[in-house]
Amino acid sequence: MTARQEDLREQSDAESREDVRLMLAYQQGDVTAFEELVRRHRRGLYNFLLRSVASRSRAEELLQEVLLRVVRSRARYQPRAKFTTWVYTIARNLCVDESRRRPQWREVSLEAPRGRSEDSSTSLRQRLATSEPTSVGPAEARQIRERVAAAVANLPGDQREVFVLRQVNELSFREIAEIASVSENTVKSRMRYALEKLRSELGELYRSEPERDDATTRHHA
Amino acid sequence: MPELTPDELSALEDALEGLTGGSRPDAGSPPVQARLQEYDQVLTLCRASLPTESVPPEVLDGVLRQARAELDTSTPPPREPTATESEPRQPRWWYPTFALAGVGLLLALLIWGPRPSEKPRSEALATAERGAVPPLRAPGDAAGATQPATSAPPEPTRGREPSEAEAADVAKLESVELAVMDHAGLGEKPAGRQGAPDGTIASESAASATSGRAAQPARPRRSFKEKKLKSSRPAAVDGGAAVAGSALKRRSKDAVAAAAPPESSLTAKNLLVRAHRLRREGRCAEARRTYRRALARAQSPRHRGLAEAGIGLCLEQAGEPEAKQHLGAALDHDPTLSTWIAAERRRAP
Repeated sequence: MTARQEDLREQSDAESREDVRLMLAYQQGDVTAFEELVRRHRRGLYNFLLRSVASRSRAEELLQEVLLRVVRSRARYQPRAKFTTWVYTIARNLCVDESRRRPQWREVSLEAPRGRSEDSSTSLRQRLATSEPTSVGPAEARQIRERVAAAVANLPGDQREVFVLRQVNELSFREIAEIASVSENTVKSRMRYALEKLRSELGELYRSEPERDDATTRHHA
Repeated sequence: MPELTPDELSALEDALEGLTGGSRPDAGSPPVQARLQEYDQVLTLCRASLPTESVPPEVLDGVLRQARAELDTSTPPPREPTATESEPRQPRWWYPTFALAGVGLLLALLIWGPRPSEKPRSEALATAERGAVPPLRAPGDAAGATQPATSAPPEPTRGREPSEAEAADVAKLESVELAVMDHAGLGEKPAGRQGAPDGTIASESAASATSGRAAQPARPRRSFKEKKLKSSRPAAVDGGAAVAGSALKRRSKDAVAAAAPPESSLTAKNLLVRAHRLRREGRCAEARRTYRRALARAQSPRHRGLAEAGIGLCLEQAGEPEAKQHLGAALDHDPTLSTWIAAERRRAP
């Protein structure tokens, strides 16, 4: 484990202890503790839900539902697991229920934005990496965002949730494994499959022309 | 990109947690490193293209209010009974009460009437035919009428007035709609799974699932009212109210709906059902009036919330800015109504 990873883990543990303290304080009647919990987790939860259901209004409703369940469980709460794991488990289960109820909501077309930015020899990643405002125009940037969002949205559900929890919420594989009730190795495999799909879907956006040509040749070979 | 061996794939997966986007992976063989490099580029692209979004400020107001409200009760509050759980009790208490009152009135007439010894039964029939007093006895009790009054045990299903039968008929129609509403999940709170590592949420989930099963009153309620209808209709017809009974028999559902009992006798839930129907038919002005009446009568937060939500949806359809206030008030009463509101928005004409 690298020093940075150790730092991150220590920071995560400290945050986890603080979450538990806040939840216990709320259990004892301190409403400001709950407000603080909401402040700490609302953004992460909202973005997880947003990437999972691909609808702002639905994500807002589900966020309310997640927090209401925390409120209702106040009296029975026992700090046996990390608060983050618990609350993301609720969110994840709501998303699973949602996708069962409305399996069609995830049909996102990837066709429209494809191929619009291929006339440049500079890779998109290079242009994104540069902070020059002229390197990527607003219209092109919007297309890229749409394309990436669509590619993430089109990942299979189990891979998408691992990818989002890792990439957006920065949870460890162990935490994700607890949330999804699978082994850590399964989480790793799902993450790899997700990255592999995104790589093939979005590769042209960050590879330069020669790399793209090479990749295409190898693919056909 | 060359294919990786199983060992390399395993090394690749083990190194994934170290990828953060912008890092320089140095684990494994060159093919693994190359693949990790590419994954890292994907992550960088995703991070640049998918910025996290903030939660709109007003979204969690209702939740925070609910959190404060939960603390107002020192003990863990019991789960708020849903509309479908609490409503069936109302007719179950009211109908026997009316029936008992009717039987009591009949007994009083028989015992302390002007001439108890002179064929009280035929007099009661004659009176009923004149329309002065509605008949209160079923024909099966005719023989018993000559017997001492104490020999006839009071039965809740006997001695019903035609107007009550009519009300029951309307109630039956509305119960069908309620059943549809319940089926659509409008009367119940969503019962999502809540598996939790500490088991607390899992137990809540189990509890809510159990209560969800218990809270499916559509069938019992319908059968109860059908039973009432079956028992009340013949009683009314054979008991001497031939005119009222046959008129009731001839009525179609529409006619019954048109001749629904006055709103003063309807419960908040019946009013809500009526208002929902009006709103869905696009008759928003009438719907709003009905919602306001329902609001005035509503006892439970769920009903108050439904009424406020209905008014809000009507106003929203009309493009009125006040809609937001009502919808907010609805969520204050019952935050779980957000799901119902969303469903109603989707089915809005």
